[in-house]
Amino acid sequence: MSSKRKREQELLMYLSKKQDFVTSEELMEVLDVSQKTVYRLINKINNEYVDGPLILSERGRGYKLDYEKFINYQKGLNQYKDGQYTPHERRIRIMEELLLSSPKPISVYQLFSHFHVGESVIFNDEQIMSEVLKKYNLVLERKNRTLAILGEEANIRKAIKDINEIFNVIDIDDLKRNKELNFNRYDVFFILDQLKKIEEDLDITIPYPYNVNIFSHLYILLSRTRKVPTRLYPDKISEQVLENMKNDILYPVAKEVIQNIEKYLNSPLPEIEIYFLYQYLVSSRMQGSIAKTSTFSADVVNVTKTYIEGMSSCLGIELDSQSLFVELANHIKPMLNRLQHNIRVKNSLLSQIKVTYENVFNAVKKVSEMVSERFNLPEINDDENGFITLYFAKAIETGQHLRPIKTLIMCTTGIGTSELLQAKVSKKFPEIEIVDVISTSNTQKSKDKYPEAELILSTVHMKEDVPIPYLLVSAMFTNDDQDRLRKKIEEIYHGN
Amino acid sequence: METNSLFQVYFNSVFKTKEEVFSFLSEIEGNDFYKKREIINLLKEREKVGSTLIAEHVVMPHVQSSLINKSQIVFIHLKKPIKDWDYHSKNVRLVIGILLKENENVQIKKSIASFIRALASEDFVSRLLNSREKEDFTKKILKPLEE
Repeated sequence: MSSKRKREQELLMYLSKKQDFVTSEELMEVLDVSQKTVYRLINKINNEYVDGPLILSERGRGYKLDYEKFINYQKGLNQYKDGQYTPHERRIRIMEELLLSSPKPISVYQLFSHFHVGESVIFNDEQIMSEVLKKYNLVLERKNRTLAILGEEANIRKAIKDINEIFNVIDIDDLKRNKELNFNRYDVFFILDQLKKIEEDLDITIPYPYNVNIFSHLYILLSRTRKVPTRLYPDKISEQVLENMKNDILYPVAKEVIQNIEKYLNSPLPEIEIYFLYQYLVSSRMQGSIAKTSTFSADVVNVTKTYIEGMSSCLGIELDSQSLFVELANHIKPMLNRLQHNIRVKNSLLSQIKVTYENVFNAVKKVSEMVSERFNLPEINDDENGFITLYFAKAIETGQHLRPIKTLIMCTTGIGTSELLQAKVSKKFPEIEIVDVISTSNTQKSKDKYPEAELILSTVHMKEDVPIPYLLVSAMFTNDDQDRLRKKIEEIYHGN
Repeated sequence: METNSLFQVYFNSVFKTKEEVFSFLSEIEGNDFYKKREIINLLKEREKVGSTLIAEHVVMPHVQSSLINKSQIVFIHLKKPIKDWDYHSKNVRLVIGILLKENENVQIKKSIASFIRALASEDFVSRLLNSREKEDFTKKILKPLEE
């Protein structure tokens, strides 16, 4: 992404986070640009958006995002345009073609002929593509006016998947109908059928984005095999790994799918394809009976615990709930497989997650580094960190992490203002668990009846001394009352 | 009122002080001197221990007693606000009096409790407060209770 594009994205993200008017001064500071640049960015965004302005401006108040349009706009971004290619798109097209045909060389003339570009542009493109491919341990080789990409098959597949942005935006349910994707429809139906078979055989469902990942893998497998008929891939897999795979319940499923593909393509596939597919299966989150009954390995338990402990100390809150542990462990289990097999799942919500849960995301990032080091794992990338962030964000937002405070509510008759207070408190303070509503005449009795009570909230002054922490609030439960209750809750958590 | 006898609604009532309101509430079940004195006393006791202001301009005096024969929720929409209800409560425009019978049955207690819980919604309270006529007002009370 160019720095200008990036700034546009930053601007939009910031506005979407604020949801209200933002002054141009604030934007200047956030983006670290001049006022002129802010104007220019906003003008550009609004001009590019067809259906009226995306960013509204109002004198004296600043700028505000038209949220509904923004959501539409984001969807639109993901769609492929016809005709004109930007240099970035041109290079992607060329890399795709080379990757699919690898290791076969293709003449430079043939590759670049539809783009109408000169020698110097071609030379420049080669440099840039070389850099990109280096990240996948692939080499772009130039020989006698031809280009070829060389390297291990697993890396080639990975590069195809990453480079072709389309694999990051597809929606499984949408595939059958969506014509803009330019997928081969027969292939799409065939693969969806295989996915369904996998789910049926294992009696599970494979949720998004893992289903998309497997779909992409199979689609690339078909395209690649058609371009380069069966050959021996240079990849080497140890006997031990293959042995382990053959003992896994996922192995027969992977084998069957590969056999089906052989029939579909009417051409034999190398044994290693079973292993490639197996890697994807073992790295996917599965929902259903095997997912439930399977117990977690010591590694999964330890990594999950390390995350929960690390996040607790990073954020300074107590995160101690069984449901968080189980949900997270169910995510960590395939994640460890993904790391081992070097499989990347694109997180299409990443930029939004980063903005919405900035603190949580940064904490996860920190803890992930620690986890990698302690458990000797490959680096955990931001896509993964984004997924993990969601588990913690959910726990925090639903108040799961807070130990409930057992509370009694008190009023003279036990039905008047106390009932009202109860309704107001439970609305605003999920961590308060109201055990009972009692009347003042029963104070002494309640202490015996509810020895576990930690707090009494009352709309009336209490004459006698109460051994339980007690807070007088008005039935209106004003902001002031809420502040005082918040402090009291902190005292209670802190005291323990 | 026919549909739900738990409620009594008075509109454009003229009361100048809290005492006048209490006196009115105590006479709802008749003019028994002893009973009147007891109810006023209980209402005053309750006021002493804590304010019954439940929202801006709304107070909810309430009392539970064995002298009360029939539990009731009494709305008094004041023609002119009561300037000084107590130290905290100024310009009271709506009084929601709750008279609760000792050992009332669970069903009625539940109805009353659910009405009070509805008062936790600021929106509901403001609609009650800003209602201008009795018929309209009744609808607004009955509606959430039917749910």
